[in-house]
Amino acid sequence: MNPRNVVVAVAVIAGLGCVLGWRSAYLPEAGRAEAAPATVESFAIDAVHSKALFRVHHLGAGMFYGRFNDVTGTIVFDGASAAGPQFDVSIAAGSVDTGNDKLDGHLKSPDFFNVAEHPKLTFKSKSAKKVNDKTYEVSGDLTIHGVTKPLTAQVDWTGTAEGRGGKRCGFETVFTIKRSDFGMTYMLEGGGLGDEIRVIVSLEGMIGGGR
Amino acid sequence: MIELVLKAVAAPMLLGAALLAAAHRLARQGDDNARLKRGGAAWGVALAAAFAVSVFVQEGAPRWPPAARWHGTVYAIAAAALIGLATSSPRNTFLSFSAAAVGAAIAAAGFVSLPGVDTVLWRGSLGAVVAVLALVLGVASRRDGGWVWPVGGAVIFTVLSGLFMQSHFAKAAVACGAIAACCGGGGVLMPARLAGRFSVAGAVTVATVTVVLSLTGYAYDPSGPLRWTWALPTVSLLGFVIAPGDRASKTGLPRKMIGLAWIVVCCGAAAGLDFRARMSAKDKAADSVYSPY
Repeated sequence: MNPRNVVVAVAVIAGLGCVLGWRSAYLPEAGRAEAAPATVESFAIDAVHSKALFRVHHLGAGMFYGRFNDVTGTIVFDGASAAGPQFDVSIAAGSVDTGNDKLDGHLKSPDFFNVAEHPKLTFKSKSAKKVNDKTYEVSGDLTIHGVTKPLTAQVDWTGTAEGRGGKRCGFETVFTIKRSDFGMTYMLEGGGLGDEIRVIVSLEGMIGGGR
Repeated sequence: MIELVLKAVAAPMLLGAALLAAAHRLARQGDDNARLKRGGAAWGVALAAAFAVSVFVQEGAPRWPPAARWHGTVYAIAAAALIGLATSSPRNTFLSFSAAAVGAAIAAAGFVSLPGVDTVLWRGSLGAVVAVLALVLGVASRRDGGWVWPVGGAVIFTVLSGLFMQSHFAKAAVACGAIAACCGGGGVLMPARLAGRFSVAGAVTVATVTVVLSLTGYAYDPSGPLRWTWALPTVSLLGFVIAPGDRASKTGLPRKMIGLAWIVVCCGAAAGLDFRARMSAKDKAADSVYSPY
């Protein structure tokens, strides 16, 4: 074989390898999904890159948003399996953050989350059903304000990747609950605050150190 | 907001006033001693009923075990009022009202289990303070405290309501407002000679309500900048001990004025210091635009 052809072939193969490697490491969604873990792994929820947001109708007018900053727990996941992910999520009720200290203080009081008595909001999944390649229907027990209720929510797998010192996976879900079901009835009468709460949870799990 | 005040403050106040009016009507019968004891028992029951109704209006029907730990205060206060009612018989003796104080203390220590202050030491201390204050106020209530009882009560529970409001615990603030309204409304409705005679029954209830609610505020205000101010309404109860009688021997001032002044200074200090500490804590700009209502 002509040595020149050999050099060209090696250069092409090396170039393709670089492009594919770059894709799997940095491209969102599609690239990450290709790097699905082959075995069941337990990811620790990265509190820095995970958040839980809530939305409530205020005075029958605007939609008011708040968030919880301290989200911890574990995700057990095998992207290749149809069994779906398992979640054990714990949220510190005292980490509620609306950008207003006085409002945060009221949300922590017995009028709402009663942080002194119920410092954690938790979700523990019991089963998961694969809806499609990216979506699972996850059922489990949601505990808020000391009251536990069953919850089923559609959870999107947002990707899996390796880099920055460890393997990571991401999930996101949006669901709606009634706060009255959990014994939170303050300002419900008269429509001061709506009963329905839209909850948005974004979780990033990691194996290894990471950042 | 107006609906809440009507339901959780005005309605309990009217119930308390109705109880006091009924006691007044009953008090027309019998001798003087019996009348005064009925009046005092009515105060105790009226204040406890006002608090209980206000909590139930906001939180729903009572349950056991309570849905939230602070609901235990309702049972403690109701028990104290019933114990006071039981000791309001004409055959009341020092021994029986001492037993009432001890009973109220046991009820407070038994029913009140609040987060962060539910150790044996805390609950024992709560019971001891209730017992001592119930005894001291019980002795003081044997003499005519006049208008200081209803006016002082209104001041104490208004300030407790304000402290709860400052600590963002609006439901307890409203319930304290109901007791304050009951004190004020009852003071206006009752004839002067009955309004000032809380008797042992009323005294035991006032002591229990004040101490238990002060501790409740302390327990649910873990990030409060000056938590010790929750003790000042309890300290102010000594004003009821000063008030009975005509004039202080040293100053020549009316004892009722001195008693009320003590209550106002203690409660005013609690409200003022707490407000100042919270305002200077942080986020003044944000504080000014948020109200729990």
